[in-house]
Amino acid sequence: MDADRLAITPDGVPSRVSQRLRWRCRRGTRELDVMLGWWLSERYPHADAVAHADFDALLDTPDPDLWDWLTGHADPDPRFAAIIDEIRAHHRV
Amino acid sequence: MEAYKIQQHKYDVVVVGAGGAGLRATFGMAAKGLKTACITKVFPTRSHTVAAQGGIAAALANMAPDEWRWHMYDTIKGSDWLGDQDAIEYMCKNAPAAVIELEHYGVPFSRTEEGKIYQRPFGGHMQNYGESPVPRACAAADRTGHAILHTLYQQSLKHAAEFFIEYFAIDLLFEDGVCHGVLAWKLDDGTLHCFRAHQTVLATGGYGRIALSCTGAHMQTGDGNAMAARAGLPLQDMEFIQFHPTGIYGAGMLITEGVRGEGGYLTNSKGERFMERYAPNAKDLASRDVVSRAMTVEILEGRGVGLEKDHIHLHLEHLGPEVIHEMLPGIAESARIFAGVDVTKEPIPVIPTVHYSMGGVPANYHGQVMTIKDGNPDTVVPGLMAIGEGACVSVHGANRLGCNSLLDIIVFGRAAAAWCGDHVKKDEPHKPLKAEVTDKILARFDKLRHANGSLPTGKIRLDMQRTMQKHCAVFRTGPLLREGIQKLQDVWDSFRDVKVTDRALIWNTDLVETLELENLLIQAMTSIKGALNRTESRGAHARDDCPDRDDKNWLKHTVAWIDDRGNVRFDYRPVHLQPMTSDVEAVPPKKRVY
Ligand SMILES: Cc1cc2nc3c(=O)[nH]c(=O)nc-3n(C[C@H](O)[C@H](O)[C@H](O)COP(=O)(O)OP(=O)(O)OC[C@H]3O[C@@H](n4cnc5c(N)ncnc54)[C@H](O)[C@@H]3O)c2cc1C
Repeated sequence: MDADRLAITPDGVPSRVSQRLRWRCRRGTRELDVMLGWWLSERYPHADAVAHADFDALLDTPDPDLWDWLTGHADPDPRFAAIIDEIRAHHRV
Repeated sequence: MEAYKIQQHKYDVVVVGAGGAGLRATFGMAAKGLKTACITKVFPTRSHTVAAQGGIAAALANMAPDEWRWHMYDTIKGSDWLGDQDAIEYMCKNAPAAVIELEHYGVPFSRTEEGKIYQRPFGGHMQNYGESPVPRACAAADRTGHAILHTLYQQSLKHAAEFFIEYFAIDLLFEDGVCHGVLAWKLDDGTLHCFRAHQTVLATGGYGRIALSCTGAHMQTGDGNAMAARAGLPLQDMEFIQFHPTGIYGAGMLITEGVRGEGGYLTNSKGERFMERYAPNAKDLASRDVVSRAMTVEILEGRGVGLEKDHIHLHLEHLGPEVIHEMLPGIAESARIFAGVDVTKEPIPVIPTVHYSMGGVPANYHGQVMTIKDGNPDTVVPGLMAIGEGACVSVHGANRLGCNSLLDIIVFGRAAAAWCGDHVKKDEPHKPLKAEVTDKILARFDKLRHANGSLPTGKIRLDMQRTMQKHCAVFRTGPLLREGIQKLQDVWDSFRDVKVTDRALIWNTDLVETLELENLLIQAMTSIKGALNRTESRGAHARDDCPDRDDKNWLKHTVAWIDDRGNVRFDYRPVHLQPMTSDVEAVPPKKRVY
């Protein structure tokens, strides 16, 4: 993850919210670190408030469920489907 | 320096870390009625243990004849005789009970048709003293690690253990050689907390992130090891870092050994199943260091695959889609996502990748931390314990067998709880500590928080990781290591010029990562210097210029103290070559063939 590309406040420091999400993107597996970290650094800065809130809530999901959703082994909670689809599309799964 | 306000907490015991080791200890201590706190930088079920899918080893003999003595033999042989045989006996003997206990607490292990716990073969686990592979790994589908964490977290809550989640432990509270607790930083509101305890248990996991390519997640920074080192305690066997044979080339993600357990195999550029040459019996299921070394030899001798001839192929096309999807869930997806291959049609590009830290804080089989003092190599450090991947008991010696780590964390988490249950008095008051104990820690914290140099943390971390990757990987030589040490010293010195951009105390991930980087540097330096110091090849430590194991000079644990300039001083602890009881005979060192 690249701190510089997160939402930056006028004083040049990432916002508290994006910092918190950055911490919560620290998962128990390298796979999820990479996949969720990608969305945070690439998509989060351009996403709207609803997507921000969804992503925040998505990070409360247990790691094995996230992995199953991201690999297509299980259907994601509809609220998170858009984000999951974006990550899947990026990784061509 | 700003006057930091510190909140005080008093417990009988404090556990730092909520992975499998920390939770097993937390639950066990709380169940014994001790007032127990568990501090963790990430949510418990997001600890690194969640990544463990392969399983937990125990000689249950559910699928084939097996016994703990064979398991013990395999573990000693796997360790290349650097493992302590008394501790290994304790672990292997207690394995079946520990696994069955987990099942009773609620871990949903996969079952055979008769309803017994299903077991699968795993690298290095053999029948009848090394004869042929035995199914010994117990798994809860592909969620073993998560199931263990979830179950133990629930059990801990049930027994009223108190959790402090998203608290970052900065340093141990040491006064006159006794540990009195730990100072932690609450990430979401920026407050500082002093946790007092009569026993403080480090369960902070491994330090895979010292390398550029590793199978571990960002959080694997071995903070507890560095905290112990800063407290003036030694680290043990840090040169022994396990490379997993099958990390995805270029990405690092693990392809589990289970793939080879189910019949997957490796080939070189000639399409040859080269493991048959290196390990005629165990072949692709030989222990990890042996397979990693064989792969590296193939690559160095020009038989690697790919444009650069710098990796190896792992095949599972022949297994068929049903076996792959049923027995190896997630593998096809991992290969697709991180290597871009369809495993039913083509092999996976793999390369040995940093995976596990055999070294760590020296501890005995109760979990008590040890140091060398006045010639006694087993001097207990009062008030401090260490368990899990961050500890060095040493049951894995120079090389860990797959599925023996989950076993280690459960068995020794349990042992630490038992010891505290017997020795820690409930509600014993805590004496006041001198102000300088916390002042010293706060000064370091404050200095980094305001660090205003020119180098971003990420840059220094990358320099460290590149140096370790190039100079301290599977094949090592004196000159390569010496050059690496010089470079790493430059990186170490450059840390004085680190720049932290954020001065806040709330969710300051830049500062957390800087604290973690300082921790990693300590571990990288002790590893690479230990690697130069150990002029032999043993287990995961392979010196091209000293290709043989040298039992005459090196059948001993490296014990290393590091100072704040990166200087390392070495001493040694004898390997325990005798078992704990007369239930089993010692396994004297011999040549290791698979
Ligand atoms: C991809 C992968 C697959 C694996 N598969 C298997 C397998 O199948 N079988 C097996 O036996 N082993 C396996 N292993 C190894 C095994 O998972 C680990 O060795 C083991 O889980 C380590 O457990 P632990 O409790 O020691 O540490 P961890 O699970 O790493 O937990 C560390 C804890 O310490 C906390 N912590 C760390 N630093 C701080 C700090 N500064 N302040 C507060 N809290 C802190 C963290 O929040 C976390 O809760 C695997 C490893 C990897 C990388």
